[in-house]
Amino acid sequence: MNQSNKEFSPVGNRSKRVKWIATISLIPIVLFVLFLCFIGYREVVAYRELTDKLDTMRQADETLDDTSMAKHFEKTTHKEGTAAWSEAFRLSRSANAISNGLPLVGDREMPSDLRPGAEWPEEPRVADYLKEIQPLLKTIHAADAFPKPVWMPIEFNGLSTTLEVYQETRMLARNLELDASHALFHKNGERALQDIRSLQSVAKAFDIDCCLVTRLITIAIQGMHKGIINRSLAMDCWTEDQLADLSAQVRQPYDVALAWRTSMVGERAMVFQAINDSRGISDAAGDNNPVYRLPILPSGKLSLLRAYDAALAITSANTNELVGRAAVAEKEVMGIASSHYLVGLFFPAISACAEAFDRDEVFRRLTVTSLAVKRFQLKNKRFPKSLPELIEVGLTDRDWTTTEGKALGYEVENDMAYVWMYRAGDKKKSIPPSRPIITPEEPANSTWNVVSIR
Amino acid sequence: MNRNLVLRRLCWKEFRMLFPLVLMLAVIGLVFQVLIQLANPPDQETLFQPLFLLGLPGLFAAGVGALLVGQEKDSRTLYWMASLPVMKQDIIRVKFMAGIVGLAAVWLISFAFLFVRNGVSSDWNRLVAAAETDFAYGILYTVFVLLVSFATAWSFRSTFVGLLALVGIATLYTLATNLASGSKPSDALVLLSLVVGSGVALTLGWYAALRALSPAPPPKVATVALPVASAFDRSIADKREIQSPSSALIWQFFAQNRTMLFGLTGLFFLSLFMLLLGASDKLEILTAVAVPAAFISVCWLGVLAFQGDKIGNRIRFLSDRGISPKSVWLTRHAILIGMLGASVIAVAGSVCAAFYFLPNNFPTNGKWQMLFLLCLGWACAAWVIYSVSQWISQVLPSPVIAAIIAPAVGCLPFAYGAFAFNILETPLWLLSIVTVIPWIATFRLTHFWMDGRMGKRFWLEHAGWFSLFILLPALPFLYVYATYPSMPTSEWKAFSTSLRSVASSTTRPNELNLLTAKNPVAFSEIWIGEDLGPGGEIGGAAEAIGTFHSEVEDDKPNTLPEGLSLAEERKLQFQFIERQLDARGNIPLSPSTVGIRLMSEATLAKARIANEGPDEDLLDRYRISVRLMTRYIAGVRANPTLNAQQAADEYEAWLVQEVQDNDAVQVMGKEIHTAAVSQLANKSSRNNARFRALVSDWGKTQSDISGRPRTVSVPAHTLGGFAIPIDQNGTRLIAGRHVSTVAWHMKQYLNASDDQARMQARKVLARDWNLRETDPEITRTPSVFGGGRGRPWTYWFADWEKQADAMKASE
Repeated sequence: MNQSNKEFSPVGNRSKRVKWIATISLIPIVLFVLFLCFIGYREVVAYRELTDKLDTMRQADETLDDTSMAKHFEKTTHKEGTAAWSEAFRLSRSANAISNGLPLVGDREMPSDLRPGAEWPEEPRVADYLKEIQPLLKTIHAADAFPKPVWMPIEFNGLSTTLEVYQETRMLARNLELDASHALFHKNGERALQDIRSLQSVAKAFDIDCCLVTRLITIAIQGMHKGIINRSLAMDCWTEDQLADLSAQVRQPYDVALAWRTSMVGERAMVFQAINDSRGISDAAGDNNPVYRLPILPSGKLSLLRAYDAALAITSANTNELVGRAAVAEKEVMGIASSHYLVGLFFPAISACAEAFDRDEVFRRLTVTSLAVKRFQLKNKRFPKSLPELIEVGLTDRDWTTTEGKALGYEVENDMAYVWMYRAGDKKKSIPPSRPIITPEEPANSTWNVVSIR
Repeated sequence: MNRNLVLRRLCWKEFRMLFPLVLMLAVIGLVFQVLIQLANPPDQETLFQPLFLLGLPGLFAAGVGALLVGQEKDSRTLYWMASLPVMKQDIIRVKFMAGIVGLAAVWLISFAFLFVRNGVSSDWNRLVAAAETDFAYGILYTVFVLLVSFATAWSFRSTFVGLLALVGIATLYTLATNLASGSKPSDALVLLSLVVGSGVALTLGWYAALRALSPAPPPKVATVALPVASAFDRSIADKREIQSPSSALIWQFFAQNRTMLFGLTGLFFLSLFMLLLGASDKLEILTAVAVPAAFISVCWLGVLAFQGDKIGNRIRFLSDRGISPKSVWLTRHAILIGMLGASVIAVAGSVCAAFYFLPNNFPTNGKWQMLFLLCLGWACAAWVIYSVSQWISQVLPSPVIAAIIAPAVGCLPFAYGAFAFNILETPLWLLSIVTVIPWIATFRLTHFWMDGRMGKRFWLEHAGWFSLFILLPALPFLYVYATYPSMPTSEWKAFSTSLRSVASSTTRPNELNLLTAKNPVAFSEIWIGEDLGPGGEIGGAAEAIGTFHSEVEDDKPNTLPEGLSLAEERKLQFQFIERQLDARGNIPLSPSTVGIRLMSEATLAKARIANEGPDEDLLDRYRISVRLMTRYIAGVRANPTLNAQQAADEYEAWLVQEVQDNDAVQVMGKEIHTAAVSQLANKSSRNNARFRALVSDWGKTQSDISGRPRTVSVPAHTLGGFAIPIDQNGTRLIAGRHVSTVAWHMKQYLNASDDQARMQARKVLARDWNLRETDPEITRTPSVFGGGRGRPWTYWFADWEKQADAMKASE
């Protein structure tokens, strides 16, 4: 009876049902569910890894947010000079209001030839201005005595941190550069040397472990420092002692490895503060940008953290290696399949930063070599025939080559010596065998760096 | 039979059939209109809106054949009508004319929407200019689609197949036109092809209609072959086993809809193919055709879910046999969801093919991210479109109307989603949850649908789910709206009263200039403002209301000669500033570079005095600077804007430092010092000026004080140009209330009776500006430069004011 009922069951024997249609229909659904499970699992794994990494970093006392940034900033800076530098900034802002019609600090171009006796129509006005800003210059010279880097009030606020003070350091430097140029024009080496020293002092006073922006400002001021030294060599105004002093100022290369690391750590802290706190990324208009309302998942944070790990791992004392590694790391970080949109939004252009470090180092070597050529001339009453002769004044072959190992250009002509490096913006970094001729039409961002030594 | 009477009755019948479609399209257009109006301010134009409004006639044209012919075929009333003593040509003509009249009506509705939208817009002229070409083409194209729609409806036995054929023909027509003429077909070619195409469609449709209305020839019994079972059917039947209900139901669904399923799959792959072609540079326009085609294919998959069983009332077979609604619901979706999943895989394959065949059209990096994003985007879009379409499929009784309406309704969730995300600021997770509601609704009501019990309960429950669908994304905003603090009514009235008083007693501020070498200063342009009325622009406005008075003209130089020394230039600048101050009298001043110049001159002179000792020239220069600065500050303080008040605060803070120096009286001179101290100590005047500025700037953010709309140039969430942060979702739509609340908090701070109350009010303001609890703005006593120029109250009651009060007391 039971057997008979089973045979006539309207649904039939379960084991004999045809299931293939349902199976085919369900395959995409199952695949989709599996995909969702995979995404969820990936996020759980990412969350665990992220938590572990952040815990480790916190235990190692690494900077990860505004609070730790503020602590680190306070620990690595000195407050003794804060008042003096603040006074310098106050006077600098006032000087800025009367700088119209002046070179370097105002809207006029600096003459290309500033040799004593050359034509400089704005010179009387420059002299007037420099007389006005004597209190400012004295304040800066005096502030050199305080330990560096100097603490200034910064309200750390993720990516919205304003660095007004650090932007204003350029004005301090420009005033010093103008005074040094004016002193050189009047063959006042002592005054120029003091300005150049103070220029370096400004760079060191505000060389803080904060982020790439502050680091690039420091590099810019160091560039002004080396630039005025290079220009001064065309004026034949230095004594041997003064040249030794200038050489000592540029002899030590910048600690690139340390600078790279501290900048990246600072950048990372700012970015993580921003993505962990919506206030850090709301734009200046006070409106919420819809992009920032997309979900910030653990995998995104982990991708960003890994990207910064990659950037921290490429550090090298050789800036040329740094450039190559940064380019490779940047390509990998931005191109890998697991890369998150957060990386695209917040990861800095590290290869461009590495280029800036490298350019600064080559420029330093150009300055060191140019100073050595002048010292050689004062010592031997003639210019060296080739750069290897500079061994006599204490240089090594590393000093007159670029970070790629190419020798700097050198030439002697009509009682003048010329040293040059590659053209700014030249990706091949090729150094021409003969001295490049600088024309006034060339754009400012791709000019040659040719040092003329009299 | 009376032919006129027949024609009248036929017309009445056709218009009765058309009315629901026209009504639904009008309602959809209205909903879109409202959403777009809410999402965009009146002065912003959107491309989406006119495109959609032009799409309404297109949808009508596509569906009218299926509605007037296909629906009658399905219900077999067409054959009954053909048996009546009515000329079949009359039936065909009336249907055609009804379609044309309906199309004209929908076009008029579309124009009406555009007119309503642009009646309040400032850019109506641009739209009209665009309309001269696009609307004319649009009208011609919809007539072409209407004729093809009739032709396919008369030709095909199944309504759905007819619609599918129509979409295929319209797509292939566009493809052929573009392939024949390149990426930019000429107007003449398009016109010719449309006219020829319309003629062909009319002719074919006419003969197909005559054939359809003619009696069918008697079947020749000997030649009629028994239908041959397909391989698919045989694979089931050959098993000779009793199937499970689920498998049988899936098989039944597939078997009864196989033509449509294959057709829609074909349409989807055709659109993918066109997208691939469109990815090449020459045929970009195909992308514009492919996307709607893919969209329609998913929409109709959703429509098939339930409407496939409505044709011929097939569902009654299952209902009468007690099949579980749950099984029916699951089996209606199983194949379709599977197809959606397969479509995602197909999209992935197409993108990979595009990467392979067109490597130069894609960046080297980020291909995987692009693939992932495209697949995810398509999966989400397909999910949303299908969810809504299957809901429509269950709710609407007519398969034809469901098929026509579904593409339009399928757009609505995207419009509403964009509105909710951007304006209501609904979080993404909540929007994701909302997409499940259509599934729950159809699941719960499948048994009513199967039984055909579409009564009150059916409609009420669907309406309830629909309400939830609409309300759920709005819940965060509604919560914010209900709980967000607002300015009390009494305060609002007080602000309004003060605003009228400020507006009636203020003249438009002037700006002082410095002499420059290049541009002569228009010294004569001194603004004597009019009373601007309540809520009007007071200062810094772009609108020119009032007159320029030129009687202050003089013949002194108004440019800076070249080659002056700094001292000579300084002298001229001082004279020029003084002349401007004298000419303007008590007119309020806007902050400008004049203040910075005067402060800088005084600072540098004083620094030199400290360095070099007192020198008559330096002392004179310092005194002139401070004297002019004192006059200038008074002018800026009279300016009723918060921006000017902040500038005045900064100037006064500087002046406090100057008058406080030990040797200030000697350096400044007794007279100037006394005047400066007296001005600084005038606390009530300063606070009064701040309040006037607060009220004035608040007035510019409000729309309903004088009946004028909020000034368009004043962005939401700003007060006097100072951005007020919003970190709470959903406050965008209540910007006016948010700003009013902050203005009220500022007034409380301004009127606080003692230090404790003031600090409390300051903390409230700090929270309004999103400052952290550890921020110096909250925890420290406010100092002279408390940081944050972005906050208008930063310098209020700071240390410098206390020092100014103390000076007055000591004097």
